[in-house]
Amino acid sequence: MSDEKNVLIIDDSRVSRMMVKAIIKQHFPDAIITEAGNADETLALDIPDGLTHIICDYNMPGMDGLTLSQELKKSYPTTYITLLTANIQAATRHKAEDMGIHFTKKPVTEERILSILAKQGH
Amino acid sequence: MIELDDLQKDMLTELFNLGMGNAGSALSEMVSEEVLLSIPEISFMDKNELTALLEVDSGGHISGVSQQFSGMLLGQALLTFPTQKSLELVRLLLQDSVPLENLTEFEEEALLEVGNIIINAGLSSLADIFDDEISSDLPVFSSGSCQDVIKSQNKTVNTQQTVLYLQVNFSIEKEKIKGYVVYLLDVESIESLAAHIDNYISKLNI
Repeated sequence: MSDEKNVLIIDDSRVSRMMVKAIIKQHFPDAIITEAGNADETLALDIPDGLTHIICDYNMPGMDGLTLSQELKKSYPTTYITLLTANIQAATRHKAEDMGIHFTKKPVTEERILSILAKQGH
Repeated sequence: MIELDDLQKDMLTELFNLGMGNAGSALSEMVSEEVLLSIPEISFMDKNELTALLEVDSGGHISGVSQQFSGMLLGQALLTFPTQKSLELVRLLLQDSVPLENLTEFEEEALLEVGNIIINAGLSSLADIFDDEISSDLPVFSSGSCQDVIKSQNKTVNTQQTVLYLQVNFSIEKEKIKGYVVYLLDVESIESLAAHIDNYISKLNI
């Protein structure tokens, strides 16, 4: 498996994005990281080829992260997509899993982010 | 108006305690420090009583993150702490991610994220216990007197009426940071909550 990480971080909290980014950069200094603050920004992005991971918040202004993840899954079927969220209800987790979206609870920790990055899509 | 009986109150305290345990654990992970939680307080009160209580607890000027929620429960949650301690909390949260001189720039956003995680940890726990769903709006930050914070953030809960008030105090002992999490349940929710609690109790066969 290649160790190259090409990650799209979507979260309306700039602080949360910074924390995720800092952990990725610390362990994978050459990682390509793209950021967006909501669905509209994401869909307007020029996303680099070879996206390995998408880490998406759930509760954001406009389209929620689960709907957005479902949209992104169509365009990036082989990318490992994770919903990273404070909404840790079983109902939300089940909805994500039914869509083939992975689920990780906030807060952002090094262990959780590294665990996401250790996985790969199909 | 529906009131909760002693058994229902006792069960709610216990379940709320579990939820706040999750919230405390989330906060502890965020700041890498031990977080102590008080025993939950549950009571019915109106807006005037509530404001007076928060004034006494906080010593006046507070920073707060509020979130409206709906679904099986309708109401508002607040995470508040004394304003002079908020930068300290942000420093603990961001650690090396941001240079110290830039900390103020990120203060509001960092506190919003802390509030979002803590409030939702508590709500998610309650939703899971009752096998139902609660959705929350985006968190809102405000700072000022207790009265200002409550007024500026209160949209759903009609505070002229009595609300069910659930509070837990938290402290990060080492840093001497104290705050509290408050959930205000709209009267319309209390009936539904009572039914959920009864259903839960009946499953326990006690």
